[in-house]
Amino acid sequence: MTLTDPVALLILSFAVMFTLMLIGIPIAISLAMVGAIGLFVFHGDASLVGLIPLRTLDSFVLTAVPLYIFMGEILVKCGASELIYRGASRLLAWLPGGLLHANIAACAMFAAISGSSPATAATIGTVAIPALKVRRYEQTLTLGSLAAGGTLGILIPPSINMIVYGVVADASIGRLFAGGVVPGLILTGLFMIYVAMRVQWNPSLVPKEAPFSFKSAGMSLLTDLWPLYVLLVVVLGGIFGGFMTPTEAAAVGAVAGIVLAVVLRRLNWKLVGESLFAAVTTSCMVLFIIVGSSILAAFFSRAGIPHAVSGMIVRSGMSPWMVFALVVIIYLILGCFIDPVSIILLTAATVIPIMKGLGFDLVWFGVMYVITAEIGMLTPPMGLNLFVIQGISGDTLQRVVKGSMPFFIIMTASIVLFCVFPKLVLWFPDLLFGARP
Amino acid sequence: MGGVGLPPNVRGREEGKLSHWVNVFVRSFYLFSLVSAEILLLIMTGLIALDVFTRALFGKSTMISQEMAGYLLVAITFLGLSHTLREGRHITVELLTSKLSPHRQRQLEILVFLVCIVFMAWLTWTTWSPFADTFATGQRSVTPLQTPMWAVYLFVPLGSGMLTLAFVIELIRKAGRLGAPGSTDLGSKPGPSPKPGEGWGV
Repeated sequence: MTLTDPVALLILSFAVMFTLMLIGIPIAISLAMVGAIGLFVFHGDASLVGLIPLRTLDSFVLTAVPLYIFMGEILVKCGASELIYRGASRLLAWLPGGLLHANIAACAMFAAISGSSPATAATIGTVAIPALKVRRYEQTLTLGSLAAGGTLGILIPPSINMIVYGVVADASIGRLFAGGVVPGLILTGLFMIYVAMRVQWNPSLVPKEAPFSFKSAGMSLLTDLWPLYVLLVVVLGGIFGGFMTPTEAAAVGAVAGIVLAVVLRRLNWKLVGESLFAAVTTSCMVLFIIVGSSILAAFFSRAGIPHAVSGMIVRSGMSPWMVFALVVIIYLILGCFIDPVSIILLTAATVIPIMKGLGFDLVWFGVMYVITAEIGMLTPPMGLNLFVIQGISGDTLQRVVKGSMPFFIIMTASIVLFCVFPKLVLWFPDLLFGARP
Repeated sequence: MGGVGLPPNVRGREEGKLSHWVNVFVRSFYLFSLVSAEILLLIMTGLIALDVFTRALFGKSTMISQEMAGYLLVAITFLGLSHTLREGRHITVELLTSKLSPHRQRQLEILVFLVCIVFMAWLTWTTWSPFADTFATGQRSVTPLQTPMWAVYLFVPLGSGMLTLAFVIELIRKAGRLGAPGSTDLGSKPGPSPKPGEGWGV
C-alpha cells in the first residue's frame, strides 16, 4: 500500500484526525485541518477551501438548525413544559409506574416540538426530578426514564440530527421527519412497558397514585396540553400537510412560540434574549463542524476515497447486512466519545455512498443513524443526556448510567426490530409523500 | 464562567489604564460577535415567517426569503464563532486531556491554541480570495435580488479573522494565568454540563 492508495489515505486521515481531537483541538477545526492538509499535500492546491464555507452554509435546509433551536428555547422558557408535564401526569399517573410514565410521555410530547435530545431531557427533567423526589420515587428508575425519554427528542420530529443527516445524505427532510414518527412512538411504548413491568415485579419502587378518572384525563387533554396541539398543528401539520418546508415550519414555529409566551404572560426581553443567545451559541458550534466536515469531504471525494472503500467492500464479499451491522457498531463505539452530529459528519463522506450503493433506503438508514445517536446520548464517558440529568438531579453519574442501561438495551434491540421490519420506519413517509420509485 | 477580561494588572497607573482599554476592547469584541449574530437570526426568523404568511394570505411569495436566509446563515455562523469560543462551546474531546495533571493540561492547551491560531489565520487568508475576486469583478447573484456576492463572501474571512483574534485573546489569558491555581475556567469548559436555560447541544 502506498500513500496514493485511497484506503491507506483514509486510515491515515482518520489517525491524524483522532490525534488532533485527542490533544484537544475542537472537532470542527480537526476536520477542517485534515481536509485542508490533505488537499494541499495530495493535490498541491487547497484554494478550494476558500469556497467551501459559503457553498456549505448558503443552504435553506440548514437554516432550519438555528430556527429549531430558537423555537425550542422559547418553548422551554415560556412555561409550556410545565403544562405538558402536568398534562402527561394527569393522563397517565394511574398506570403501574405512576409518574414515571408521565416522564416518558412528556418527553415524547416535548420531543414533538423540540429538535434536541439534551434540551428535551433538561426541560422535562427540571420539572420532573424535584416532583418525583418529594413523592419518594425510586431514584435510579426516575433518572433512567428521564435520560432515556429525553433521547426521543431527536427521533420524534422535528430533529436537528435529521436535518444535518438529510443535508449530507441528500435525503428529504420531510420524509426523514415522517420516518421518525412510528419508531418514536414504538420506543415510547417499549419504555413504558419496561417501567410497568419493573413496577409490577416490585411495587415498592413507586408510591400509589390516584386511580384513573375521566375528569382528570379530560382536564389534561383540554386545559394542559393545548400548547402542544397548537405547535403540533403549526409545525408538524405544516410539514406533513405539505404547506411548509421544514425550514419555514421552524420559523413559523418560533413565531408561534413567541405568541404562546404572550398568551402565557411570560414574554419579556430576557426570554427572547436568552433564547437567541442559546440558538446562536449552539448553532455556531454545529454549523462550524458542518463546515469542517465539508472541507474533509471535499478532500475525500478528490482522493476517490468513498469510491475506493465501496469497491473494497464489494470485493470483500461482505453481505449488505454485515456492512450495516459493522456501521452500527462503529457508530455505537464512536457514540461513547463523540457527539452524534459530529459522528455523521465525520463518516458521511464514506458511509452514505456505501449504504446507497448497497441498496439501503437512505431515509431508513437515517432513522437508524438517529437511533444510534440516541444511544450515544446514554453511553459514557460522553453521553450528553447523562450529564444533563446528573446536573439537574445532583445525583451521581453512576446512578444515572445504571438507570439508563435497561433503556440502552431496549433501544439497541429496536434497531434489530426495524431491520427485520423496515416498513415500520417507511410506512408513514410513504403514506404522506407517496412511495419512492 | 470566569469574568471577561485580562487578569487585573495594577502595578502601575499606565499599565492599569492599558489593561482597562484592552478589557473594554475584548468585551466589545465578544459582544459584537454575539449581538450581530442574534440580530441577524431575528431578522432571518421574521423574513421566513413573513414569506409563509404572505403566501397564505395573498398567495404571493416575497421571492427573497430563501436566498436571504442562506446568506444570513453564513453571516450568523461566522460572526458568532468567536462568542461561541468564549463560551467554551466549540466541542472538544476531553477523554485524554482530562486525565492529565492541571499543569500539563494548560501546557497542552497553549499548544492547541497556537495550532488553532495558525490554522484560522490560514483559513482567513484562503477565504479572503473569493471575497477579493467577487469584489473586483462585481459579481452578482442571478436572482431577482441581484445580491453583490462580495457582501456575502465577506462574512467568511471576517468571521475567521475574528475567531483567530479570539484564539489569540484566550491564549494570552491562558498564558497569563499559567501556574495560577484554579485557572482552568477559560476556553473549553471541562465536561458538558450546561445549566438549565444556557442552551444545549443537539
